[in-house]
Amino acid sequence: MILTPSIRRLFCLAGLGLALALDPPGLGLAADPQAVSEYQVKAAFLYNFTKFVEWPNSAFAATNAAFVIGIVGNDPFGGTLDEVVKSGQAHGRPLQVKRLKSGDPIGDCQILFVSRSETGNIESFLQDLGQQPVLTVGDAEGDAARGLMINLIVVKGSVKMEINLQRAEQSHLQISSKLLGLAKIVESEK
Amino acid sequence: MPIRSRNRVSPYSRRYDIMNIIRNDGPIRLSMKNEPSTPKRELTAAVGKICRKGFLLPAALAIFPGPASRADDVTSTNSTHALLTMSLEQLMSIKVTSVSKKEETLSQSAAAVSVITQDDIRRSGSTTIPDALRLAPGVDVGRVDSHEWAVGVRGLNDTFASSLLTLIDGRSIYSPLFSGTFWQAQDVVMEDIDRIEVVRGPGATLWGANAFNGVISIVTKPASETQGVLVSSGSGSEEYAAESLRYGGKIDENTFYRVYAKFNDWGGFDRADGTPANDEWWKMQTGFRLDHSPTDADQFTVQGDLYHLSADQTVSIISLDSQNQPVSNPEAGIWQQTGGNMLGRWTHAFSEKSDFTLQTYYDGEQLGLPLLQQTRNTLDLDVRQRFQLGSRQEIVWGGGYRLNASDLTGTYTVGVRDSSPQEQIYNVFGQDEISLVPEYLRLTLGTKIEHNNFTGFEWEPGARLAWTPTDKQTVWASVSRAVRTPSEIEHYGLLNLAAIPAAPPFQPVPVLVTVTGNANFDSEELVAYEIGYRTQPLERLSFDATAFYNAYRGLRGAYDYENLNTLPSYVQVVTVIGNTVEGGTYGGELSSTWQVTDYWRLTANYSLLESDGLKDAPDNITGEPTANSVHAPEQQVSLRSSIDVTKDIDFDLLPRFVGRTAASGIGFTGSSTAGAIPSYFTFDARLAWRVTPSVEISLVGQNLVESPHREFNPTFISAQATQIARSVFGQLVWKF
Repeated sequence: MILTPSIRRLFCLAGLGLALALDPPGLGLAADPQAVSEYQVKAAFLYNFTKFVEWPNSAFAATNAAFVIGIVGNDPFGGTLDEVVKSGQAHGRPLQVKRLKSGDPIGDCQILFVSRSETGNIESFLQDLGQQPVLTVGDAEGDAARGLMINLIVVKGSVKMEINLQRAEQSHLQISSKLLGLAKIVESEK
Repeated sequence: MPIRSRNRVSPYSRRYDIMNIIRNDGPIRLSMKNEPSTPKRELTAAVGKICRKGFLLPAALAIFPGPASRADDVTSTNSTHALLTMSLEQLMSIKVTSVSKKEETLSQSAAAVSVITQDDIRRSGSTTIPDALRLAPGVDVGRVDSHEWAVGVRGLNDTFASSLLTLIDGRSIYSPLFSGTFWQAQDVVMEDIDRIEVVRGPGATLWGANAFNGVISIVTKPASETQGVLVSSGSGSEEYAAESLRYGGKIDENTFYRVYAKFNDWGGFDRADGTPANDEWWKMQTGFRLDHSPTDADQFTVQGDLYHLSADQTVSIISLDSQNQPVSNPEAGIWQQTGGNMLGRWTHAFSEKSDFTLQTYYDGEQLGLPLLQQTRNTLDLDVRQRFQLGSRQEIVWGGGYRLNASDLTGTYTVGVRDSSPQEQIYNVFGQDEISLVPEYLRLTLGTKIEHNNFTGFEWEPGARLAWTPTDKQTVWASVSRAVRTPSEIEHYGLLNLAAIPAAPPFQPVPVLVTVTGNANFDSEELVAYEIGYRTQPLERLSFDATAFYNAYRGLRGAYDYENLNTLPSYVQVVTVIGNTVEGGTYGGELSSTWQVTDYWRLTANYSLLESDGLKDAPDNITGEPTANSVHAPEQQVSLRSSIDVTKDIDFDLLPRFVGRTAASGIGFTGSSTAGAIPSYFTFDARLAWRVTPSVEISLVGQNLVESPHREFNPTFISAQATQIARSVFGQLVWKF
């Protein structure tokens, strides 16, 4: 079967005709919705942790001290966490983000987010922290088993939590049952 | 108003799953992360649920600020606020564009891989897959005529015998008839392509036989990302019509589908002497894809396609005349090809680092060439599992079965000695990725063991080492072995290549030149040594350099000569093929992307390919080993300039220089129809205007400088090389 030029033209016209016939004006509203990035959602999780975890008073240097979220390693949040901080308080205290450089003390915050670039250093962080009431949050597969209290991982496209309850209890942090109910409880390796 | 890139992406933000390339036969995971415009219907669904509960409507609207929103705006205050007001359960149900651990960045893969994204394809104006493949470094694409392409990686290229494994969505499109890909028959709606992954170098450890010089894997988007109507209509001076119509819908929150139909019609090219080459063609295709994920952990995909193409072709038909003398006459015929396929896949995730995939497909094809008829049925079944062993090892293992049943009818020109070859392939493979020093040093060891009834057992081991001193740098090295198994023609074929008329007194009778396959022809072997370095010294600048040495053994060459003819009316010179060619090729590829400004990106690719001669065994007529061409250009340079003139206008320029190919168009023994292809320089250009967010009009000019030029010589069954001419093409793409 060979297409004659006239049949060819018909196909071309059919294509264009279809396009034109289907072209009702003003249908631009069905644009693609934008995806939410992993770290926007993870930032929202960090904010929620301030509400669902109880810190002992000893966790704060002063009664009016800020609630500090520290990040060790590469900051994957971009500016998202700063926006989160601007928008709220935690336990009646202003929120603050600290990006920690190597050598900075890591115990001066209430939540410590351990970036993926620091996975190899978790053990030394934990040693430094001892039983200080700092909620440690991981970002890589296996971080909870490595000893971080909460790990945020992406499973099938959604962010899920793993909680190392034993670690949290050792540091006198009380994680609400609501959070525990939504998380997978894991134990330290070894 | 500041002009911002519509899709500003450095190659290092192209996070994708190296698993797909190195471990999986396909699109098991959606993994390109560099398409900010990607619709996320799951999110719509999640937010839709929330909205129906009667709260958060303003918040939800804030996440979807409307059609004018841009990828850059995603991290907007509004959407972050919206997320902060959600409950934990809602947060946990939101689908995110993940950059999860297992999805390594391209910058960390221990192989020479590059990814052609949907954005790259769109902005190149390509309407065929082979044209889009020109965008990757180290790929040589030669258009033989209007409907034939030779696509190779690192040499040994041919229309029918490229040393390259090719797949669409995990389904092999490599034809065992000629060990190549019928590119004219392989198509998808260009706008539905998620990405094309190009691996240079063997991928046999996981992909098996024929992942020899490289692997090309075309991955389409999941149905959830192709929702709504797409109309793409184009017409040009060479391609008269390129029409695609696709509709994507949703059955429920977990089930999405799309159906499409497309039609392409190409005009003919001219030969060097200006006469028409008689190579006009058209093709129609329809298909569907259904994705169902009943749980977070399970993903079912069913997809299928049906196509038919018809191409004009003039070929040399050889026959014996009334005096029993061989004569050759060009005859106009039609290349007809009809086929269909159906694929099913189930993926179950046990955890982020452990999953299981079961895939099966059927592929049927009817090929009606003027010189050969073939019906082929392929059935394929694959399983693979991935899991963690301890904290430092990730194991992938699996197995597969393939049945290839073919029915061949030859002619005098192309004869077949077995009319129904059947091939059964069993394989098992295993691979262990070991973190020698977590985050810094990874060693990957693996092998595939395969059995086929042509050549028996094949063993394809590989070892790769990747060192990532910083997250912006990777150094890698690998050694791997691959084989190319014989094609049906190489085992059972008999080709009468030429009939040379009598020229008395020196040659009193005509000579018939014949090449025959050889049932003992064994697999061709390759051991590849590769090293590579990737770095991103600046946020906006990245480099990728690779070097390779490919050591070949048992490449196809002339093994023996015999005379099949008992008639006195002519002399027949018969060449029997064998695994006689040995040698090495070496070279490398350089690729760099520079985001000059927010609205201007430059990409440059360079590739070099040298050979030590690929020597044949000493010829028993001359006693001298003959050298063989690598059938690919020695050097290629290409540049891509992508400018966002305004947020609605794109302007792209794609100049390329393709060096001389010493010989192309292999017959069976190297040089019978071979001829050099001179170097050429040409460029493509594209101007696109998004009239509204849903309508894009574009004008594409191809081969604008030098017109016309040859890109590749035809193989034996086509008559003459054609010239690739300057062309223009206009297109309207409308989505709603």
